[in-house]
Amino acid sequence: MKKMMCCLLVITMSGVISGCQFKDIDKRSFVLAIGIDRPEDKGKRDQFEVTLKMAIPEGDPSQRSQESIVITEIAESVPEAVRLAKSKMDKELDFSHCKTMIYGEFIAKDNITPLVDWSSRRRDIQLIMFVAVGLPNAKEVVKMQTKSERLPGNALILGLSKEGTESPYIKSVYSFDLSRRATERGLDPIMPVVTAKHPDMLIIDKVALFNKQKMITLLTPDETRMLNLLSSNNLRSSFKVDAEDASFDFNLESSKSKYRIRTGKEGRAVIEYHLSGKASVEENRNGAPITGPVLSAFSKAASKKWEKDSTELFKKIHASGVDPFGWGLRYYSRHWNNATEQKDWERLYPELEFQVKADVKIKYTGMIR
Amino acid sequence: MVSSKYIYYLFLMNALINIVNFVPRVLVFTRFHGALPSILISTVIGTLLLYGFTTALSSFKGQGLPEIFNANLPRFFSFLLLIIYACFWFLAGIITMLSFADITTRYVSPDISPYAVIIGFLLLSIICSRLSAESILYALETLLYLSTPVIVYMLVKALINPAFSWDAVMQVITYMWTKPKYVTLAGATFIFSGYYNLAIFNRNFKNLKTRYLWTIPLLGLVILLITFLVPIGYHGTIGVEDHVFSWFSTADSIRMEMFIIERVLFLFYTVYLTLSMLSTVVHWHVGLELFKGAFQSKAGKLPSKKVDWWIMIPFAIGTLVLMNYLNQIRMAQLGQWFLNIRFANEFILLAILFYVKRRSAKRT
Repeated sequence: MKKMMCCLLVITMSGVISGCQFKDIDKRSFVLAIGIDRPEDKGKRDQFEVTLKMAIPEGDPSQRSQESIVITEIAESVPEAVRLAKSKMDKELDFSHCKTMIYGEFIAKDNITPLVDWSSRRRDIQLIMFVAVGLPNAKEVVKMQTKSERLPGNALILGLSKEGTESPYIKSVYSFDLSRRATERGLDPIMPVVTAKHPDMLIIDKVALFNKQKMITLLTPDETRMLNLLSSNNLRSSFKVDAEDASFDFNLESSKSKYRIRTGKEGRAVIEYHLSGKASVEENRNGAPITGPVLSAFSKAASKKWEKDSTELFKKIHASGVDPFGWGLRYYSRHWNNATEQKDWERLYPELEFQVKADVKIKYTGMIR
Repeated sequence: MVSSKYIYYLFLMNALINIVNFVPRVLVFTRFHGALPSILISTVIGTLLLYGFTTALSSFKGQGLPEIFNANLPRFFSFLLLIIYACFWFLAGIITMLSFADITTRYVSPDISPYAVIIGFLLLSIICSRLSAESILYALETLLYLSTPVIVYMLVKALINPAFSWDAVMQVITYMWTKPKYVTLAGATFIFSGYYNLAIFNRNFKNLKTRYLWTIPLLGLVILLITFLVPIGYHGTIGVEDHVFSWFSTADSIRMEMFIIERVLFLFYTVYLTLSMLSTVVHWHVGLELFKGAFQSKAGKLPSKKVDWWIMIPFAIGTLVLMNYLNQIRMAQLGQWFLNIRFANEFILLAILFYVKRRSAKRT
């Protein structure tokens, strides 16, 4: 009996070892970035143009021999285009290392829903993939080979993840975050915008605001930085202040942002932000030495600047009618009347008021006084 | 003979593997219709059931369900009950295995045939569930010690992530005052039901003392809340429903920046593969022993070890047939039915045990 079982075991196990259709690494090409556009051809405007940037596994990554391969394909749906792209390659496409997905501007302005569905439904595409909108189109962004890029697609990945550069103008958004925002009540999608600039530069300094389906508006770099400051803690950035008696730049060392929604007069909802930060002076344009009173005047000027800038940003966002900060969700989550809270919020939203209290403490003058 | 701390390991095993498949699904589906009150109620019910079951069993020192039933119930009833329970326990193992085969083909190796995966699982559980009860318990202890730190690490990683939306969690908490549902209760009490494996493992316990009983409801409640709320924090109050394996999607949404591999998913998969196989082995061992117990002779002699194969192989074939028949939606339905019946059954088994206990007390 035992012998028989052993034989049976060996036979079955050997089937497992050889029988599966596992492909070796040298028979795969790894897709590192996907770009999706509408074709430029007028007759095919409802189709999809899919651009895949691929890397072929090689020996030594430290030498810059890694040429990437870019394939573009047009079809009526994204999966169709991917299947067509497969017949252009001799190797099997592998999406499991795909770290970035770029939505072309036309797609973003039209409808992103099917693409969000596709990327979260496919089992091999990670949910920690970075998403962004590409300008002028996704193909240009994906194709771009910057001089600093050592590995195919790496410039995009390092930029969007903020793992390399720590620019305050970059807001990184994961794929799971995008699909969450696309469905959640009271929270709307946002994506960073990557602009391809010839000959070899990628600029990530804007954020696109979406309603559930399509892009509504773009924020300027300054507004993007403010959005970053308002939606995350400990932003690394500097800010320029130009007031009458204080004209200087300060460098943020730590920052914190929190808000609550309270009921103001006449039953209006007031969104009350509280910003705080510690900073040091980076450049003083007045030339006068910074004494104690000057430092506190600087702090005040800096706080005022934040208050002004963020209120302007809020007004712009409010006017566009989207909710990238999740105020609606915050309102729902703090109210227990589940049946009526959504209607309440819809009624309150047009009349929203904003109050920002900023408290920047400039603590250090830098290496010189 | 093992000490009574192994009761807690049995509890912990079920409590940890519940997040793989059906429990989070039913909780998420009813998140606006009574999931949260169900969690609170099921904590109470689960603890009471555990307490009742261990007290009932503690008067039968060193006896498993077959010995208790055969000695105190009419032969026909005990035979029938044992066969039904054996099938039930086998089904528990089969469901875990099938869902993990599904997960494996989906996330890890899509190129491999699901039959190859399930045959691997079946071989492992058949061979391991024939081991002695004590070896299985020791394996349980060791593997829990190895995997719990990793689970805690992943959990901490999940909760300190700035992408985790506490607003979404709070929004679901505001649905506290809704009416609990039977299906949700059945799902939520599943995490407490690991101790039911004592039906066989009681043979190996010196005595069933439940010291530190208060840790069970506390731990159970925390685990249930985590099971329910962490996927919501990652996928939103609405989006969470879209994910078939909500915890695998959650693990995929967490990133380890400073580790050899970036995706938490693979770490999560490995740990939960270990725990799921372990739970299958435990369930199949109990199923096997119950089945053999049904054929216990009057003198108390159990069938020989060779019979094992003739019991296991039909169940293994049954697993393959079931796999052929099920698709994703039917699989979810089967899982939910299993949870529903299990919940009702816990009361029935407890009632039978108390009845048997009174009978045996009268006799002596």
